[in-house]
Amino acid sequence: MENNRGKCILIYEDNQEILILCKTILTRKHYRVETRLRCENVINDIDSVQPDLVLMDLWIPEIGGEKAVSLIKGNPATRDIPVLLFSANADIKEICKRTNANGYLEKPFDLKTFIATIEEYIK
Amino acid sequence: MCKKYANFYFLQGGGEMGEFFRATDWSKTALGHPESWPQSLRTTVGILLNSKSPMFLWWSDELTCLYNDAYRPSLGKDGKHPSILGMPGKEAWPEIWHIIDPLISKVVEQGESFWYEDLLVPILRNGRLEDVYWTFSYSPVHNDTGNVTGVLVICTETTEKVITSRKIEESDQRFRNTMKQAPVGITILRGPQYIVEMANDAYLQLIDKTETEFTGNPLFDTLPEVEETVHSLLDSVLSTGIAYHGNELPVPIKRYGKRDIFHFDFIYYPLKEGGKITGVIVVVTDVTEKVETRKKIEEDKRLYETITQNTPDLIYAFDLNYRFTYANEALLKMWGRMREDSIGKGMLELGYEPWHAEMHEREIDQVIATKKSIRGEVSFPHALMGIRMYDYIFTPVINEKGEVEAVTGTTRDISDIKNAQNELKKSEEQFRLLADSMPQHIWTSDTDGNLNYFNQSVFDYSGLTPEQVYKDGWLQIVHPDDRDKNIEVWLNAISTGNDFLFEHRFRRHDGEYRWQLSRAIPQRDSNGKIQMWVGTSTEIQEQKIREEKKDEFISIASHEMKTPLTTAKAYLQMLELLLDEDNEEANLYAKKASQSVNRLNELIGELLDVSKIQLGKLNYNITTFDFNDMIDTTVENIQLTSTTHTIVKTGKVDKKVTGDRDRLQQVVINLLTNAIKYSPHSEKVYINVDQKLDKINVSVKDTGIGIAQHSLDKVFDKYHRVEEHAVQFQGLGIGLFVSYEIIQRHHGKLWAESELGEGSTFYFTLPVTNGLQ
Repeated sequence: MENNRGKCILIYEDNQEILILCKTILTRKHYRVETRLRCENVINDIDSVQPDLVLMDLWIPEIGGEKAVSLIKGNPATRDIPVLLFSANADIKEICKRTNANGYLEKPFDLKTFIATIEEYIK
Repeated sequence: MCKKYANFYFLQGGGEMGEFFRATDWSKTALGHPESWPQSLRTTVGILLNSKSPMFLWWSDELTCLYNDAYRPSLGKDGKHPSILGMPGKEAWPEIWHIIDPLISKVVEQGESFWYEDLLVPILRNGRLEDVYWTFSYSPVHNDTGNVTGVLVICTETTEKVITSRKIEESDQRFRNTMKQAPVGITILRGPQYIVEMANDAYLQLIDKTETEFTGNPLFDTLPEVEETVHSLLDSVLSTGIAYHGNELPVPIKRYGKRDIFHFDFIYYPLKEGGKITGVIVVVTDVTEKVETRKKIEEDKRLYETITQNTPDLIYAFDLNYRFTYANEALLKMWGRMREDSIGKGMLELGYEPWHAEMHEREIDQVIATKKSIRGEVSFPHALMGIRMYDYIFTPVINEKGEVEAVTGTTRDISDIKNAQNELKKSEEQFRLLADSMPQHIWTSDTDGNLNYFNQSVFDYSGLTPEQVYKDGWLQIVHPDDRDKNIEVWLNAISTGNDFLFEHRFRRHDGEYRWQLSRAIPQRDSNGKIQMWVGTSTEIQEQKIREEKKDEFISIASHEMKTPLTTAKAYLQMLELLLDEDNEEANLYAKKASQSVNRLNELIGELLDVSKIQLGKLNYNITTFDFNDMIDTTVENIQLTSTTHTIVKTGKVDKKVTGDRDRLQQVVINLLTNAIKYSPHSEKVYINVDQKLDKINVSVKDTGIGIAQHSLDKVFDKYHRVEEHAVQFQGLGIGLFVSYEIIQRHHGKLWAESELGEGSTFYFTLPVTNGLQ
């Protein structure tokens, strides 16, 4: 747990409650958490935050999570950063494949699965 | 002249030849004057002239010819008589001298006499050379010194006898030839052994034997198979001498390589010789073909009798005077008459009305004139059933000369058919009237799926004319995007006989495509055979839009609901982590809250699935996977969450399945959780898997409350739930609807069997290879 200290997770989520929840959980696990309510500036965001992992909601303004992931994965500067899709969408698996996201987290999630998945994918 | 030789006693008498003798100037012949004749000549001439036997004498070296009255006819008329009297032999018989001379020399030189019987000695008489047969003797006549000086021929002409006997012989030969070639079989049997003396060709052919193997042998050595039938008959003829006539006697004979029964007409004649019966003449005719033909005719007659007498159709025959010569039972029954009161009668006599009799008589005239059948329909009062409608046909019977010799008729009662036709026509008219006044589109199709009727509404709606629709087809009304699927579903219904149900868009007269729900059901006859399809199409545009909006709403709403659910679930789990392990009550509450949240999540998931199914957006992730492993994992997971029931799994499948593992797992979860939910008082639910050929069968069974028959079909409907226990059991029944869709998508089948109070069993089958990729 100690070695999580200093690792940064960037969360894209337009719902404040979810953001607070995730921040609460991850902070307790000693991660640094950055949040964004919109996703159109994803490349700039990453450039400035330099996250170790990105959690990306799918239904998020302005351009939607799917497009945003494609931007990340399409850019040589950002494509190596692990991205997890984060959504209640039942087709999340499919979208994951389509966008070359590294993995996904379904909403609602099981606490243990949430933490284990983050740990698995974080750099 | 008579006085000339009056004193020669040996020239007296002798009839006509005596006259000639006495008239002859013998001194001018080699014999000289009778005074100089030696005694032996005198004696012989005396005998010759007075004998009634034909005699001829050659005398001395010149062989002078002398003969008597009896001999004369042998010389015929206009021949040698009387010129050769006293003539030297060589001059008298030049034509046969080469025959006679050696004979005479033999007698003269050897002094012996000899004779011939029926010897042919042709002589010139009656103006021609005739074949004359003789029986004659040549005897020497000695002179006074003992030398042979003359040859006396005593002869009888046997020409007539010879010719007669030759004629007899010829006629006998002719008879034998005739018999030999006779078309009837003839054989002659001798003695009690019945040795075959002869058999003609016809007979040999009849028994399929050659002459050499048959003649000369006892009959029964060659034909042992006939002994039983004919031996006693032959014996009887042989012993009594009474001829036996047999008619169509069946006799087993082996011929042409096989043994069979043949029929013969025959006569056994006793063969009498010298007052004794020495054998039997057999004359036989093979009548097998005749007998068989007659039997066949009799059989045919029986057959036709049976057919015509027992058919419900009326069968009859007229002579050329319109009188009935035959009427079958059905016709007699229709008339209400006896046969003997009817045959030979005309139609008027049988109670036909004049117009009716007249009509048939004219028809019979026409049949006779044209030699062609004629057909018609007429009503007639049946003796028992009242006025009935009949379909009849009159047919000419044409004899070997090509003339019509009678007219036969068959008549069928078509009242029921007619009535049914009328009823049908009426009901069809009603149907059309009704159909055309309906706002719905109504159409029908033949069994091949070709649409052949559209009601007025179809034309009004599409703005097309009937010609346009019938010519270019109904598919032109259907939205291009819906056509392929439309054809597929329609052809599937036609080939399986299942109801057709399809939603598609029709182009309205203003060009706008609007949603329709089309449904068609097959009309079957009493044998279950499809006769036609009747379909309806109803506009559901408004419903469709409402439904789309609703599904869209559900989609958004369920997604929105997941957000608070996500936080609730996570906070609950975080709360659980903070709870004191000893605080059991708090732990239990937290756990129950978690379960509720999970259930809520499932429900939202199902709701989303439904709306996606409606929108056609439910995605499938097709892989090939171990089916058995999927079942085991699922059973294990459900077992973990159930404290009340034990899941009993039986059977095994070793085939891999191509499909969406998660979706199929969803089905199994749904069936198992339902089984648990609806059997609250049981401890076990059962799942069985097996495979037959290329199909996998899964059944999930509970011993719970069961489902009423009338609800059984509806359990797979959207939003259905088991009503009977609405209060007791909460929850939407959309799980089954989703399961049904999933199984169908895998080309499988899902169905349920149940009895109220006994429990339910849900089944599904999956093809192992289902064409999914």
